[in-house]
Amino acid sequence: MPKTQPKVVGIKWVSKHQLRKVLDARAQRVLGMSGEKFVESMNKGTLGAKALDGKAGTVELATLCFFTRERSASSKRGR
Amino acid sequence: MPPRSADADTNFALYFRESLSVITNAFLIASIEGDRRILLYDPPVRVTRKHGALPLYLSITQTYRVVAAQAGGTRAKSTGYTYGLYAQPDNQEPILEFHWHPESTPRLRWPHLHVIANSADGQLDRVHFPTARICVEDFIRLLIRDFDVETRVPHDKCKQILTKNKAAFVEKANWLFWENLI
Repeated sequence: MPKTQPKVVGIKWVSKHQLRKVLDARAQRVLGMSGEKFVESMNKGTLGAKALDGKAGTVELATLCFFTRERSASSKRGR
Repeated sequence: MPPRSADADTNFALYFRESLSVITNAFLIASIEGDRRILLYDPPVRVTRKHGALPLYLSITQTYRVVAAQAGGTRAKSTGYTYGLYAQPDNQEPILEFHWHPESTPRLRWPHLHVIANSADGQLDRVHFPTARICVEDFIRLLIRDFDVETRVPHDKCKQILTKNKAAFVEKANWLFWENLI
């Protein structure tokens, strides 16, 4: 018999370092390449929309890239 | 690290988590970069189905920004999503994916659907079928209605939670018209 009120799913906040591991695992699973290699290709601009959206589960890697990048020293300083 | 203040972004995450909880109890991963947030299931999480059907696997990525609200305080503004369904774990055997990722692919800014299927004209996998903006509640309704995904609460309660959370989401949206798509 299902419950009348579900327990709300938990949330686990992770650091950039931990998220990089998620990125690496996904890149290995979906593209057979390391997360580092994927980030390098993104930074070089060699992955266009066709490549990013060309296979199921790939475009999420681009999103993860944004959340795992190191901010530059100037942006860390702020105003 | 979690955000310091309990405000719009935490509420957004709460609605999102509550909606997912009608079909799963799996923990969401969350991270933060400046005013941006990401919530995701990775690897995809298993959901059970009625009538002994094989389980399916849910891949979710939701991004949003926390921006100043006109009325003061802050509000969450969605910046993208991918809601995917797989027949096997570890992103194997995809079935369909709802996408909206305008920031990752500036030439492909519209919400769209990928259906992993064949046709007389060949594979449809990478065709971008245009859609309205989908929220996670629409996706969950599709899973329950058309893929027989089992709910963790009675159907009426489930419907009530999804309707309430979609209404809360749309109330803050900057587009005008909405109805449940499914």
